[in-house]
Amino acid sequence: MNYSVKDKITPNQFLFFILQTQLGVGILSLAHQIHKDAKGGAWISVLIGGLISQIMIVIFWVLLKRNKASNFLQAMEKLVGKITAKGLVIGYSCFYALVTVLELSEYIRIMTKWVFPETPVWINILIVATAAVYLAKESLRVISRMYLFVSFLIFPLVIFTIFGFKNVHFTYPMPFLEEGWLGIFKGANLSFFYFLGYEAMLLTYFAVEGSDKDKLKAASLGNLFVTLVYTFTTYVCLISFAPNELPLVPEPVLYVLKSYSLHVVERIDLLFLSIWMVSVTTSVCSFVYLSSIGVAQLCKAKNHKKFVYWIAAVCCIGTTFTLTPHRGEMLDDFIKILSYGFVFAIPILLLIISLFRGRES
Amino acid sequence: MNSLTVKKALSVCFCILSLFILPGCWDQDLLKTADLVYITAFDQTPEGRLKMTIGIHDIPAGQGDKPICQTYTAEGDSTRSLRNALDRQTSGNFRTYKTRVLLFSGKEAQEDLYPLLDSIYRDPKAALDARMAVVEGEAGELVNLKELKGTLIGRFFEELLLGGEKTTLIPRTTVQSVCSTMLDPGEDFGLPYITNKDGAISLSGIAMFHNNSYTNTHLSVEEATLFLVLKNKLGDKGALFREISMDDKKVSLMFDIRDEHRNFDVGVTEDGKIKVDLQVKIKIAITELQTEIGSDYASMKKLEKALSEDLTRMSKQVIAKMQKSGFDGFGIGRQLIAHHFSYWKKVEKDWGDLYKTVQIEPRVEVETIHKGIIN
Repeated sequence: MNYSVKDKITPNQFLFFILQTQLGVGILSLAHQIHKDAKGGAWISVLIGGLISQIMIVIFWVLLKRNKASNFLQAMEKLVGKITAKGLVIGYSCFYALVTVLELSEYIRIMTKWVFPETPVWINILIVATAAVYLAKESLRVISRMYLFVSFLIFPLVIFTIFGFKNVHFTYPMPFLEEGWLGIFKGANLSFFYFLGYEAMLLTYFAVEGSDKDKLKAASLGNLFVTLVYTFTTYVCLISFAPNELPLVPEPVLYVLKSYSLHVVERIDLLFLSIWMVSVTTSVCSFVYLSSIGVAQLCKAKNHKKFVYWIAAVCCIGTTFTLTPHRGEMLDDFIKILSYGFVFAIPILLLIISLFRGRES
Repeated sequence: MNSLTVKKALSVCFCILSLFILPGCWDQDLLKTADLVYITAFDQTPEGRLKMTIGIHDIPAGQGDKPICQTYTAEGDSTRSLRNALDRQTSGNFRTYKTRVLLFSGKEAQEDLYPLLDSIYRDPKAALDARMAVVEGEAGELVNLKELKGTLIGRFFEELLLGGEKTTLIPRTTVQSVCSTMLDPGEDFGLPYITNKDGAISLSGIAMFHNNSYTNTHLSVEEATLFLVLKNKLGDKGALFREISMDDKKVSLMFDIRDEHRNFDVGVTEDGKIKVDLQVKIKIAITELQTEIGSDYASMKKLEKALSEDLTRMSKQVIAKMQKSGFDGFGIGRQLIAHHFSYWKKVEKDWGDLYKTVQIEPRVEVETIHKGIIN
C-alpha cells in the first residue's frame, strides 16, 4: 500500500508517535531490572541505553535516507531484492506482533497483581485491546494526533514520581560504580530493550512530511524525552529503596507511590496506574498498527483496517498463553534475542549493504 | 433515520450499558462491609507465641453518629495466620488498608521485626504509611482501652505520634521507611517509645534498634530531640530544657530550635580508623530564661558559648549511649558504604562491634535569633 495524503504526518506528530511507542510497560520495572546488574549505577546504565538508542536512530535514519521510496517494502525491494524484502517485512510484522503480546502480558501481570486480583484475565486484555484496536485501525495521522493529545498525561506521571522525594537517601545508590563499568554496561545492554519502539521509524518514516533533517530531529527529541523520563524515575527508585530492598520490589515506581498518601487521594499508585494504562494502550496500538501496516504492504491492500482486527485477535489469544511467570520470562528472553536481530543486526547489515551499493553506482 | 445513525446510537447504548455492568464486578470491595482496622498491637505471650490485638473503628447503626472502637485478640504463630483468626471473629471483612498505627511490646520488638511486617509488604492493599511505636509493657492493653479522653484509641495514637514528629520528639518512621533501614546494613532505626504510667500514656523518647530488633534501651525525651537534631531531622521545631552554669551562676533556660545546619563527615584515617566529624549549627529562640543574665551583646554571646559547650557535652553522652547499645542511628555505616566502599567491604562482617569503638566528635554551635517579647 502507498501512503495516501490522509496518512501523511508532520515531523511533530512523528515525534509523539515515537515517544508514545517507546513509553510503555517498561517504566514500572526498569529500575528493578537494571539494578540487578548495575546496582547504584543503574541510572547511568539507563542514560547509556538512551545513547545507544540514539545511535540506532541515526543508523535507521541514514539507511532510510539513502533508500527513499514510497514505503518500507519498496525501499527494501530496491536494496535487497523482492524476495528478501518480503521476508524482511514478514519478519518485522511478526516481531511487532510478538512485542504486542509481550506488552499485553506484562500489563496483565501487573494489573492482576496490583489492582484486579479477581477479575478474569480476558476482561483486562479486552479493555486495552479494544481501545488499541479502535485507534490502530485509523490512519497514521489520526493515531499521531491522539498520541499528541494523550502526551500531556506524561506530566502527571512524572509529577507523581516526585512525591517519592519525601523519604529519600541520596547515599543509597552510592557508590555508583559498585559493580564497575562492566556492570553498568551490562545494565545498559538490558535497558536497551526498554527503549524499544523507535524501530517504528522503519515503517513510518516515509509517511512523514518534511526534510530528512526534521525527521531525525523529531525522532531524536522523542528518544531524548523518553531517556530523561526513564533516567529520572530510575534515580528516584534508587534513592528511595535500600540496595538490598530493590531486588525484592519488582515494580519500585508503584511501591514508592503506595507508601504515601495525600489528604484527598490515599493511593497515588492507583492513580498512577490508570494514567500508565494510557501509555500502555498507545504502545500496544502502535505495535498492532506497525504489524498490520507490514502485512498490508505485503498484500498490496488498500488499507490496513482488516489486518488490525486479525492481528489484534491473534495477539490477545496469544497473550492468554503467556501469563504464568515462567512462560512470561521465556517470551521476554525470546524477544530480547529477536530484538538484537531486528533492531540491531539487520538494520546495521542493511546499512552496510546500502553503503556498498552506493559506492557501486 | 438511516442505518448509520442507528449503528451509532447502538454503540453509544452499548458503551453506557457496559459502564453500568463492568465496574467493580469482580474486585469490588465495599466500604460498608469492611471492618477497618485502625490500630494493631503485637505482644508476646509468656509461652513465646505471638499475640495480636486489633482495634476496629465502626459507626454502629441507630446510636447516633458516634463512632466506637471494638477490639479483638488472637494468639498464633504468624501475622497472616492471626489475621485469618481475627477475620473469623469479626462480623465484616477484615481490612487493613486504613491501619494508622502498629504498636509493639518491648518484648516482642526484641525479636526480628521483619517477619512480622512481611505480610504487610506483600499485600497490595496494606497501608505502608502506618506509624510504628514500641510500648513499655503490654501493647495489647493500650488497644483494649478503646477510648482515651473522648478520642478513639487508633486516632489517639496517630495524633500522639504525628504530633511528636512535628515537635522533633520522635523520628518519622512509617512501615515503609523502616523496611529500607532494616534491609540496609549501614543504618539502624529507632522507633517512638511510649510509656504507660498508671494510665498516663506519653511519648518517652526513642527505642533504639539494632539489626531489626529492639536493644531494650531507649533515649530519653531530651536525648531524643538532640539525637534528631544531630541527625538533621528537625521537625517544625524542637524544644529543649537545659541548666547550664555561667559565671558560677546556674542558668535554666527553655528554648525552641528553629533551624539547623549540619555538617556530617565520615572519614577513614590512614591507619584504618574511622573518624566521624559531626558539626551542627542551630538557631534557637529562648522561650524561658529563669535567671537574670543581662541582655547586652556580651552576655548573650557568653550564654550562647556556655550553651554550645553544654549541648556538645550532652551530644557526647547521647552518642556514647547509642554506641553502647550498638544503635547506628546516624547511618555511619551508610556513609562508609557510599564514600569508602573498599574499606566497608573489609569491616562489613564485624561492623556491629566496630561501630561501638568509632570515634565520633560532635560539636554544637548555638545562635540565638529570638528571645520573646521581653529582654
